[in-house]
Amino acid sequence: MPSTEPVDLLSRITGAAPSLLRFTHAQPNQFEIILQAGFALPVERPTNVYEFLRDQLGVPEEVIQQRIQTLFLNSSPVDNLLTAQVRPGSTLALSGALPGLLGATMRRGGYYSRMREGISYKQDEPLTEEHAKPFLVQVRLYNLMARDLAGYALRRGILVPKDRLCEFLEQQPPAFWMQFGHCELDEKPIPTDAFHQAAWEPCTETILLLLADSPVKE
Amino acid sequence: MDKILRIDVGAAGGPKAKVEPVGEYTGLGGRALTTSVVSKEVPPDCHPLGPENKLVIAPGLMSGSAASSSGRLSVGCKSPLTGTIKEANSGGTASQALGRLGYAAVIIEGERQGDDLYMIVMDSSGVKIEKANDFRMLPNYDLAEKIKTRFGDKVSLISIGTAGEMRMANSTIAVTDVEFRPSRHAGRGGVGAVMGSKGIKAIVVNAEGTKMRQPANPDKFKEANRKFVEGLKGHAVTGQGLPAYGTNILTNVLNEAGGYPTYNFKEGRYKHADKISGEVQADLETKRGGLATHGCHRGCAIQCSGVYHDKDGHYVTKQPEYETVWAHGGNCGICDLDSIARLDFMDDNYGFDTIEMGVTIGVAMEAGLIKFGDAEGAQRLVDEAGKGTPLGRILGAGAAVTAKCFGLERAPVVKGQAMPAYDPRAVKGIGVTYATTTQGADHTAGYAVATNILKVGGDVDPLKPAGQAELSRNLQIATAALDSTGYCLFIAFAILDQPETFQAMVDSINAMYGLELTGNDVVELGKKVLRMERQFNEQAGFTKAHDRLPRYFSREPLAPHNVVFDVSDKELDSVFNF
Repeated sequence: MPSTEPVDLLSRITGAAPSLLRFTHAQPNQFEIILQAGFALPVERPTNVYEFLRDQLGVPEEVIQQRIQTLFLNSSPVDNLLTAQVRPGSTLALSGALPGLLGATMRRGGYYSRMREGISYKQDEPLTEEHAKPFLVQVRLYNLMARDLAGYALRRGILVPKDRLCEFLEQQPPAFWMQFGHCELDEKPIPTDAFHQAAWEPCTETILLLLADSPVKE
Repeated sequence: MDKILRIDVGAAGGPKAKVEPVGEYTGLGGRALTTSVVSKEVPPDCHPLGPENKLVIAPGLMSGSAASSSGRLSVGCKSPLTGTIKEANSGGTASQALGRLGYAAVIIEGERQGDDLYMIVMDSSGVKIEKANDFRMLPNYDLAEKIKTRFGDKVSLISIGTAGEMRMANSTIAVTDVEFRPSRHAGRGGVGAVMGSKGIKAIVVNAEGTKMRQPANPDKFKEANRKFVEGLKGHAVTGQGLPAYGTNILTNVLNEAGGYPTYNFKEGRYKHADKISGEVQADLETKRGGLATHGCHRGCAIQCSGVYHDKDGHYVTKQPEYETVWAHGGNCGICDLDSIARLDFMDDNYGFDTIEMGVTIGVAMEAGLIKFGDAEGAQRLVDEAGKGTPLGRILGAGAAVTAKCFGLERAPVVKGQAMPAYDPRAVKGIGVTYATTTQGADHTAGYAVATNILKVGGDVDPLKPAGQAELSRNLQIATAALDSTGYCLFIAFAILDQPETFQAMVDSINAMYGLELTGNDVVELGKKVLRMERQFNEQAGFTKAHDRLPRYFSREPLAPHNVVFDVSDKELDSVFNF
């Protein structure tokens, strides 16, 4: 996927491109805390959860089947990834295996899923042609999924509030900063030892974080 | 574990120890043993703080052996909080130490004479009892420091804080961990008050010079335990999720599901949950030089605990559990982990159950005593309770009493015990367990999820919808059995998913005792325990009418799903039809 695709997609959704922070980082899983708090992801068109994970996020089949044990779509536990649909206004949350009876109850297709039947995901109204356009989906990655899927999400490009990003970065220890390689904000290189508050001032209220696999400048 | 220590606190001249063979209680451990003793020896209609009640402390069947994650200690009595039979259990080091000394149980009984406090010291040479008036009204951490100066930090300490001494209905029995901190608690039901009513402040268990309990069949045991550990370490929950995040891994997920009780069970979602999640907690612990992965006793393969430091790197408390973070955090509108950790420490120090205290403070907030979100006010209230001020005495009596004193209907309790961190309207199956368990609202009563492997209730087709009552019944049976082994409930997921790990657990018990137990035998043990508990409660005056949630759970919809608890009384009444 071309690295400019999320920017273009966002422009089509919001009418204006957000500020773009492109960077390389050797340990994307260290973004865990910001991923659990939630982010937005631009999506081309409505799709079912399985295709969203496989095609939009690029998550391998075995990770979908074995690691993503618990999913919520609009707060409802999902049992069937093929029938649950990501559509405009959707919030999707992903979790690994969880302990105890609660873990067993919330688990996808689990033996105890009946214990939460009142809140389980139920089929939405059918989609119409009107829905077939780009939109933002809210995503939260919890626990082991934040670590496992950090690279996939960040490579796809995630949209986070500037304040939350600044707060997250301010709390990071030196070891986090040492993992950065190249970094640029709105195409201007910025030092990677730490981001200064001043660097963010011209930015939009939300920022697109985009992980690059190689030095950013092409 | 072939002997029982009985302490008669009413003996002339002060408490007297008597060691006797385990006798009719042979083959029982943990909850099976505490329940058997209380059922047989305690009149169900007695006052929980009266001379007829007994406090039974029992290691699990596998405690003291090399079996992994087998250090749970059961404490049983008639509960001052609920009036029902009670089994509360704890981690820490004492269960292993008692097992190694060969004790199947310590039973404290009789009528306290005078006002003296006593300490029991158990070691390989026998039992000594001495006056402990110098320890009067010492909180647990201060007490542990004094014990350490005399006995060192390799012994185990079982103790009560000020709450237990004041015989508060919310009072715990503390157990020291591997660092000799009194951070593990038999928390629920006011068991500390029963120990306080007997005038026993502390039990020091010194297993120095003893060896691990040896299995009847060492080779089979070694192989079974190896497979068991392999199964625990290989499973995503016990090998990755719990060690990385602890039980607080559940905060984000419960909140996402809209089943996270907030503002005294008014809403199902807390807007600041991401600030107190297990992910943030583990990150903070690591950055501050604490530990996000730590065991509460030696020989545990799971390591679900941790160590919480303040911003200056000083110890505050052990890693607060999910239920604690919820009770003092989301339920009270408090989103500061440092404040929650401080409240956890205060609870451990004074000897309060964190669930009961957090729910009590939520009730006090609803009553207008302090505002939701007032972390300093919450600490002030715990202090009042720990010091026994008149207001503190009310708070220390638990959520139900506090609601009554302040004229509130909204007390989230069953049989007088506060509900834990799962809203029964969103997860109705757990609500069935809250309503019907013999223990009062208790999330662990229906926890052992491997019921399908055990074939509890026969071969239930997992694809065929089963009733909430049937699922709850099977879970309660399996849990009662597992609580008797000393194995931690957290092994449940690994034995659910991996039949070979379940078999390894059963094999380890068989190899330890030279038995040929099957899954059916385990199920029968669970049923037997529940029948005894149920019978005790019936004779104590409990009826089906007590197996209900407060009515407002059926009347007030819970956002965001706007669901109510609508499991019928008929279905609730069918839980105990075996």
